[in-house]
Amino acid sequence: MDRREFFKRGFSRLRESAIEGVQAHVNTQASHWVRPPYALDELDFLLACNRCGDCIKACPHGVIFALPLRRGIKAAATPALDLLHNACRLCKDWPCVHSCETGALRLPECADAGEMPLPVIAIARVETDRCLPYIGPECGACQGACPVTGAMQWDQGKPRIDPDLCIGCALCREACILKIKAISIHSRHQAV
Amino acid sequence: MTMMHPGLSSGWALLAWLFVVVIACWALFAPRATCASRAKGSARIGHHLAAKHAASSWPLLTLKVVVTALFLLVIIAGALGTPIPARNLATVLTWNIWWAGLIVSVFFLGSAWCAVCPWDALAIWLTRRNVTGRPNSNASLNLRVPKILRSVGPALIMFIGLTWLELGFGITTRPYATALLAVLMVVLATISAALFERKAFCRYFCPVGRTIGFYAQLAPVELRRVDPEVCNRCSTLDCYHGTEKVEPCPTNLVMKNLRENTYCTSCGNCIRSCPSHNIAWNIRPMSREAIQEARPLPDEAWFMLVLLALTGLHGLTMLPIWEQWIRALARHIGDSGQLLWSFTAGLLASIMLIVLVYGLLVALTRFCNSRKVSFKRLFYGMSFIALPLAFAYHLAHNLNHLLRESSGLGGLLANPLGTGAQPLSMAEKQARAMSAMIPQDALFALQAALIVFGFWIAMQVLRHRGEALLPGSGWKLFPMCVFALIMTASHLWLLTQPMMMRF
Repeated sequence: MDRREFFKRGFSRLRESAIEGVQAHVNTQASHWVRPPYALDELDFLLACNRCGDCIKACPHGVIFALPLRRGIKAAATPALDLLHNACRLCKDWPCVHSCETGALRLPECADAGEMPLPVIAIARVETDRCLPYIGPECGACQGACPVTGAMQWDQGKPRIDPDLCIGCALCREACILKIKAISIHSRHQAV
Repeated sequence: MTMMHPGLSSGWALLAWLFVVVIACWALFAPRATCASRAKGSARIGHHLAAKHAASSWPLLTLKVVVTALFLLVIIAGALGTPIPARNLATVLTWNIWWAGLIVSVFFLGSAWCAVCPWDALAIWLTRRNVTGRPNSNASLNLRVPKILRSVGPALIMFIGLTWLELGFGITTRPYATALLAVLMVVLATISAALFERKAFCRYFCPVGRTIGFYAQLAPVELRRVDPEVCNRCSTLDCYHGTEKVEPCPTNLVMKNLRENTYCTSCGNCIRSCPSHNIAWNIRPMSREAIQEARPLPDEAWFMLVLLALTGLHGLTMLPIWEQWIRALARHIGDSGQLLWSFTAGLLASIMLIVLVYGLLVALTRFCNSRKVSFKRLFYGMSFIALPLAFAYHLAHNLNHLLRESSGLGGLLANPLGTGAQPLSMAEKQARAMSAMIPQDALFALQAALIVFGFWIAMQVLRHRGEALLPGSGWKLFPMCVFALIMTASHLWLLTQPMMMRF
């Protein structure tokens, strides 16, 4: 290895680990909120989004809101989904995505192949210590709310969510009749 | 002097026992493969009729008003009328006709009583001040029921209390106390309606409603969705949330997935609120819900076991031997007067005895099946066996009261307070004892048939739940069968004993 090679490798290793560090940091941050459908990866999203707020205005159901400043200067004013109080209705024409001029929200490339894959927004989990069929009489309020075939399965009157198929639209959470909802929504990003 | 009703003749009892033994053999040794595919069908009744009635709640409201008027009459008669129980409408209507007939009504109509219940009607009218349509939600604090109360536990305690009042305190022969109890129940229902959302009293606290609810699992009628697909597409859940005009489900049920009658109060709100008219009354085989794989939860399991113990206690307290035990106990602990402490101890002991016997046999079942499932799971899962046994004995016992003691109602309605009436003379008692509504042999046949019927459903439960809990266990479920046999034998024996007439 000559000197040139040594520095080249050293710097590229340094750059990689720096990017990794930033990525990890950004992902940890990102576990606190849920981005609108078809958002880029968190780091790319933060770089692409110009905080114009067009998607917030475009959402017909008022699900998208701007993150407040206390979420950090980097994330302030970027859009997020208010899935705890509202569900993403997965509008057919994706007004939020189309309103985005910078491409921070971007439909997947294979759109011309006919069936567009649904966005993976977040992940839903059944809280079995609250969900009625687990602790008491049968319920079934969320039955039929799920837009993805097979993501919500029923076993003896009890709902179960397949984490591999769930897209986290929160429609099931919205259907839940409990005051303290028995379905929780989590970010796809793991807090490290 | 009290008159005695003759008990079930030994011929009928033996015949019933013969059937029971045959059924037990079938349950243990017949192959179980076929039972899973039993008919699950149920016939819808009067969908069009129901749809027509959906427009109005007047028929139900009229019934409610009539029942409430009778209820108020009971309170007035009990409070102001004669203390002679047989001459007062309060005691006769409450204990001989309503309390006895209630269980019979479940056999035919499920939880229909809850739909016209005057306790709830008065409570709702008092708090929500609205007779038709959806009441103003500001009329109640609409609190959530605290988590600790959200089970059938409170109703269970109330039911034990009611049995104590009935058998220990002897409220059935005290018109004044009967009226007080009636007022107390309305007060409790009203407080609950003022504090809690929907009808928390019916759902969690009412001892009568929960007893009816459990028995209604064996009723031949049910309110269910018609087309599961329509429910699947539904996102508004009007049955649960109600509409602008129709009240939501009083007991927090979602019709999408309802499979158990336990908490349904038959109010029919869901029929009226469903925008797709997708809810209907069905007629079904009585054992259908029983043989489902529904899981009795801990609180429900305890309720069913205590129900079994308390129904047996009704018969037991009318035997001389019970009196002897209680007297001996009273001498021991220095109890005097009405021997209430001794009775309370006897009551608790009889509950514990049943639970203990059940627990032991569950443990034995688990031992026979090489401990494949946990004791808890088996204990709760098998508790459903207790329900048909309790229901059958309760019905058989109540038939005695209802068919032999309900005469003379016409005279009572003419003079509900019993003003100036004399106590029943011996001749009158004699005449009443002779004037049962149906021939004695028909009554005996009915009682024997009911006991066999209860055992038959219990065996079906044993086969289905047994197969679900312990697949391939076959005859190894015999300890649970022994439990049902012990209970059925003691019920038959209790029925053969002469029973004291109420008054």
